[in-house]
Amino acid sequence: MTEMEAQLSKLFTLAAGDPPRRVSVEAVRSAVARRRVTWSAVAAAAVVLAAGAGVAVAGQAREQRQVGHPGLPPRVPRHYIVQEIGHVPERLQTQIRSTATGAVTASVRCPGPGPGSVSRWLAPADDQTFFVACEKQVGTHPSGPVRLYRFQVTGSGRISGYAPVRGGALTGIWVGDIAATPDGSLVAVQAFTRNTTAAGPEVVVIDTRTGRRAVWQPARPVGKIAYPVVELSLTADGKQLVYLANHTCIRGQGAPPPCRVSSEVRAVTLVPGGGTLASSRVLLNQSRLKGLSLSFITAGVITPDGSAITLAVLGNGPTRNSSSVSVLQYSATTGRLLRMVYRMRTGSGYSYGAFAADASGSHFIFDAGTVNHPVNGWIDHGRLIRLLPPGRSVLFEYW
Amino acid sequence: MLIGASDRQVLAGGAVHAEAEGFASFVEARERALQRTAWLLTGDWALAEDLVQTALARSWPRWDRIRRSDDPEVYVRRAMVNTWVTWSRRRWRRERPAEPLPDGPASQDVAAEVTARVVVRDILATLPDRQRAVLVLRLFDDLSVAQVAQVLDCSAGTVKSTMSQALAKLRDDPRLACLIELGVR
Repeated sequence: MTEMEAQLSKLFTLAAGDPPRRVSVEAVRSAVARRRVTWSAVAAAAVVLAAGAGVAVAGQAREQRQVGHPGLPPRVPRHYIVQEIGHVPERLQTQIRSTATGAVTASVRCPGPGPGSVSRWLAPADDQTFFVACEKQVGTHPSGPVRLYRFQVTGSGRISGYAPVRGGALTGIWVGDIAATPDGSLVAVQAFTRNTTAAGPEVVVIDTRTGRRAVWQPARPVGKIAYPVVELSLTADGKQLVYLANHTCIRGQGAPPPCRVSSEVRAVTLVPGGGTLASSRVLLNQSRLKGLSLSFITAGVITPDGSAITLAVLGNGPTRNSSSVSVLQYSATTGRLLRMVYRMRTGSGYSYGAFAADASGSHFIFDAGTVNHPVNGWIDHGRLIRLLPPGRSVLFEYW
Repeated sequence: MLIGASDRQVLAGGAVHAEAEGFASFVEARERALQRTAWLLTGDWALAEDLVQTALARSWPRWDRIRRSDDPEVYVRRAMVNTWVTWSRRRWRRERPAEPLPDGPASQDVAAEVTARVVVRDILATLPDRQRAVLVLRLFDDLSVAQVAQVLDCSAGTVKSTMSQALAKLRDDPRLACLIELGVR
């Protein structure tokens, strides 16, 4: 071996390092099963073709659905996006995974606004289009500016490209959450600034066709209670901005007797010039929801048609071992409970990782469970179908 | 991972189960080494994981025959390299960022490993697939010329000449010279 070869050999060893994750035998077996399904489907299609052209077309269409996504009901998103702490310490790792198998199909990488940019917040528009807020990260903290990008996830789970969002270059803020309309024409950004007070962050709504922005200032605290925005969602027509607001007792002023953690889901009708969230109206008030007085509402989003609100609820029951984690859907007009999407009884206490609704507002990812055994999964007719990575290592998920 | 009942059913059956046991211990023992090789080929851990998984899945149905050969790993590596070459040809499979990715050599003081990782990935990316595979198999996996020829299904002479071309190309690369001079050794 020449000197150069020896040096290259050392360099390769140094560079390759340790793989961040392991390839398990189970993952390989699952891949084998998928390949077998594919081949048997191809064989079946050939037989059908021989039987007759008209029959073949219909048969092939059925087979294609089975081959592409074995085991998944129609309209369930084929891929989801998950954020976890990566193998490089303090760095977020954002990956796209197959819902059916958990296999990683792509990584979300921020093209900007500079070296070291990370994708901290994402929002689905439709089931293939996503928005991502990219920030430059210094150490463990984001450091502006923020730039929004739009990207498409292909049918095989790859990313076809990143396009900067018009009006999506934001300076002097850091982002708390983002939401988008299904057609991608509006993006709402929960924006913290150095001047953010106990009243909470402001919301910047960007028209991605013109680049125009409308700023919605937080509502002033009422007495010693503030209602900061926690989570955003938009109706499909782009007329309503809906947000979850958690009551917060302002420090240093003493908490009056009724001041305790409680939540509201509020809506504001969007106008081009922006305004104040004080003009919003209450859609749901936790204190008026039966059986939720002791619970913590951790997520609340509106369906695209504006008819229902889905809540992720971490519930402390009336007795010691009666905790639960639930996903509940309420009418946005009457406030009545429409259905219990999912509930897991967790005994004493609970753990929570992430909640996400897909672009249609009808399929949900829920990473929650007992204190020691959180389960990461998607909800299918009241059951939690497991997803990768397992609970506990997930920071956020989207689909 | 959704390893459901249907997957288990596919794998059910006495003979199949017996094969899978030897396979499991091979995967357990060698997956990390295979992933490292895959990273040097692809320059991306997620792709590397996919590549190893695909190569192992392709080897699994023939495992009974493979394990009786002298070196089962040669077969798996061949499946891996062939799969990667196929993927490389399908350019559409790759992500296409609208702007340059931020993973360039960093200007500030960073650890030697990170510098080596970035430079090695970049210089390997400048080589044609075949040359990259020869370099990685020969210098990283420490395979003999004959073994590399077996993996790539070509003659020993072809391996030697491909290796020589790859080294000649790298010799002129200032980034590699700089890295070696900086003392990553």
